[in-house]
Amino acid sequence: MSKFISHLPDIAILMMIIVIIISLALIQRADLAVLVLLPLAVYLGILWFKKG
Amino acid sequence: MISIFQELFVYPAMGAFFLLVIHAWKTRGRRFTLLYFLGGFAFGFIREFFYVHYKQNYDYSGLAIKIFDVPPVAVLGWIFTFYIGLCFGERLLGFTCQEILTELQSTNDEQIQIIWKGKILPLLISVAFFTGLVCFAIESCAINMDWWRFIGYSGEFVTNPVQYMWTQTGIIFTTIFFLVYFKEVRLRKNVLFLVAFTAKYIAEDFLYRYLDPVGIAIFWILVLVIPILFYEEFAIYYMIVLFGGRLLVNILLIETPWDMLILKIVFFVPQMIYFFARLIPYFGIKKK
Repeated sequence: MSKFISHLPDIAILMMIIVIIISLALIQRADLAVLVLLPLAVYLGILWFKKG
Repeated sequence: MISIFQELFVYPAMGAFFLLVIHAWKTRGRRFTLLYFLGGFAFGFIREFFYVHYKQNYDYSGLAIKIFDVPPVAVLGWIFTFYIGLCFGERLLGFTCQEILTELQSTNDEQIQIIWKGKILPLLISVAFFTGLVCFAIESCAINMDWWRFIGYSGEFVTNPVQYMWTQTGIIFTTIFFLVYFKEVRLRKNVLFLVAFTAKYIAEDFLYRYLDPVGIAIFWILVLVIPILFYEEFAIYYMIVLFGGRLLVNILLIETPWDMLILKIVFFVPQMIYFFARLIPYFGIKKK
């Protein structure tokens, strides 16, 4: 299995995060993007930290 | 009115979904992929159909393409969330569904229950936890972008009960999938767990409003008791989610910004602590 294939879920979640940031930035609510993504960012941060 | 920003959501969601199908096909094989994604689509569609037609709390007028009033992209969103939750859960726990499948072959009922409690249940909780996180992000974004809205609600953030029901939807779908994918785990207790939990969910979201005061009292006993009868680990997680997602909201009735902050902290922080301080160290790779 190629390394690229194994990272497809990471790319997918990254796409979702970018969509949320761009969308809320377009309606001048980037502050909201920070708040709604905060719990997910903490989770992904710990995931990244734990798996090195 | 259709949202002028709907393409921002629809095309990336479809793209991300196909990336996940490719991932599943290449890493898990045809059986898993067909069961998960076709089964997930059917499950998500049926769920949305019932919510649109019988609960009527969602207004999907911001999205143009619909099948029987259900936007397919919302259904793809469900599968997207469950599948990524499963992948990340596998990474944190250190084992995959395929390894569990191999391990389950040539085992007796007692060993199967050990695997169910020690591996499948932690994966189930991982999906549920991740589903709550994604719910907060995507639903809060959606109601601000007018992709869809909750009828009678005009806040900026999705409410805790919605996150609570999302979490439970993740539990129901993943349990169904595990019972279908892992033939060996179709033991009476596990099937009964699915039936009881699903019945509780339906009562909680659809039948609740039709009950008289005595019925409501019985209903609350069922909500509190049914899920803790089966597995100790699941009972701990369920009580945390129930408190933050449902019980506390009934205490803090007015959602001022300050209340909202408290509600979100009470929903996420205990789950984070439980997930990273208990579930992962206890069932994850460090234990092996």
